[in-house]
Amino acid sequence: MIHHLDELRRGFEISTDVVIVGSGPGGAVAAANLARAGLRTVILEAGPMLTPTDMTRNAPMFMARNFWDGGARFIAGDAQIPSLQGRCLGGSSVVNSAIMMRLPDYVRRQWIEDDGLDYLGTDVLDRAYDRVFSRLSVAPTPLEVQGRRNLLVRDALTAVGIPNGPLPRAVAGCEGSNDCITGCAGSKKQSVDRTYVADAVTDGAEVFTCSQVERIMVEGGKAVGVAGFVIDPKGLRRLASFVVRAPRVVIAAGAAQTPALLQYNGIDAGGAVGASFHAHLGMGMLGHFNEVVDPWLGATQGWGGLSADKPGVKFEALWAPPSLLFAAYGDIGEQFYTDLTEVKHVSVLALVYRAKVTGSVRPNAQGAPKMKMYIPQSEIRAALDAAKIAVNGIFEIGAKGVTLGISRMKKRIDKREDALSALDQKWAPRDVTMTANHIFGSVPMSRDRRRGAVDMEGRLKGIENLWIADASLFPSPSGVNPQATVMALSDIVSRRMAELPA
Amino acid sequence: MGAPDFEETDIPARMRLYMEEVPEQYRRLLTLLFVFIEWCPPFVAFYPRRFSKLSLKSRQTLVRRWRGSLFYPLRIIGDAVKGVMTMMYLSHPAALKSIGMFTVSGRDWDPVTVEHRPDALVQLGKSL
Repeated sequence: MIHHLDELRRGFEISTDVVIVGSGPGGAVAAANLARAGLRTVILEAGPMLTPTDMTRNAPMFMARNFWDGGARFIAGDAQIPSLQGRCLGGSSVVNSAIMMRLPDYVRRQWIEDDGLDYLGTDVLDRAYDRVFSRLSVAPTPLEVQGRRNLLVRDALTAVGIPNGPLPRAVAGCEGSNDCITGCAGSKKQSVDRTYVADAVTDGAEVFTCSQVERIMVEGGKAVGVAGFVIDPKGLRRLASFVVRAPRVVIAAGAAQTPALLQYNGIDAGGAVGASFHAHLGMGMLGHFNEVVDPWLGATQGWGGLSADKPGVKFEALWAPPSLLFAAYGDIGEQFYTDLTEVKHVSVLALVYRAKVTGSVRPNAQGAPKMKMYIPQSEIRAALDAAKIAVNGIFEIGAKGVTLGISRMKKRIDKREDALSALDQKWAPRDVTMTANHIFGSVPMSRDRRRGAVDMEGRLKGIENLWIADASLFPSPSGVNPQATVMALSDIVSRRMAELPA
Repeated sequence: MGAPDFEETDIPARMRLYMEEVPEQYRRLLTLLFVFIEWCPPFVAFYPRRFSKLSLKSRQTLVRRWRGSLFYPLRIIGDAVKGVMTMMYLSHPAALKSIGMFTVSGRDWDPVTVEHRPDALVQLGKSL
């Protein structure tokens, strides 16, 4: 059963076998496994449940309602880097591009050798991926829904020798409507609200939406439940309080919320919670072409490739609602209007860089996460060098210009050598338009006594009956989109909890 | 250039609606941003008038200068005002129509209407 705001306005107090905080990819998989094993399972989700009619192409309004901090969450430090995280039933799986990729071999080796995740060397992880991919109908994006924008990225990557292909996504029967970020109103995206949460509900789980956890109850060194407030999604006013008592508590609120919630409750696993925090740095560039591209046509992110020479760099096609794209890349005044006449000729090539940089997450006075990250010049240099590969690809296939997304310089550059020269200059992090939507590693699973906050079973050190099941577990960045690995790790952790076969 | 202006895209009223939806701390920040921008020209740029009373050219010059500033807080202010105004403008159906946007997937309930061309991908496939 799914409980909505109207029936929760007076609060609630219940007891159950297991309570899961967060209904995103990690929490949903855990809920499905635990409910299937016969445990009375409660899922608490801070945001509302979305139906197709909640989805609008008014992107700022949609984000204000359904993203953490109204879509204005940033990683502070030497730059303000936007980090978009979904705040609704299904979490970010409702608002991302549904890209599902397995951990690259070099990252898997690092996690085994540096952090002792020995079971990644067996077929336990592969079986978890297989289960998840099968449930979510993961398949390469079909050619029929690519559109010119994605295919131009294919051609650009091929031109510069980057191995590429259609991106595997959790979408069944994609329409190519390009609405991933504001929700798939056609219900084709296999977001976890429609899959794993639905499975859990079928097996008897209860879901409480608009219920934000603030307190983890601990008695005698054991977690015994959680408490919080029913929240009105509009304006985020507190309406009533709730308490859920359970002898098993799973925190799966995401790599920002989870460490903040733990620390806000004085739980820090010997200082390891929130002390480390990783992110992929995302950059993008607009390629301007003579042909009409109609960039709004086709899958949001249908094509991409991993660099063979630069491990940790992923190139991919991208589109976002024009309101968001031009908030970041657009000019002002007359130039803004001129650029708008050219939008239909634009393609976007984005890159995701596995930055070797560690930040931190701490709660503020209200318990909300404050993320900080200072990016060394060497990492900015590495990202800009990768961007040069993308520039070469775009010009190689006949682009008449690029927009690089570097502030304090001319927006559009029409010559390849000028664009390469611009990228060769020394830029500070705050000069480069970046995003960091893939965040992880804030409550890491590691045998390293100093860094590790969670053991190999997913249990938080120092508190009994408290498990972690989200991207916080990653010992280091995944190098590819994290959703598949979040779900696979949660599958492993929750199967062990439920004593199901791995 | 054929693009709708701020009146046709109803920016002031839609900005108020947007501010009602964002979390309270961001509503306060946005209010502060607009108040600062309105009253700061005499102090930060030696313009003798409020922002809204300046000529279009002066307003553009100011925002451009802030966005290119080496003083990071000023740059954040410039980027924030530019970003939020762009978001409001380009989420109006008239602005989306002016850039030629269309969709293969109709949303009857969505007030942001976009031209519906259900067979556009099929047609594209035939032309490739």
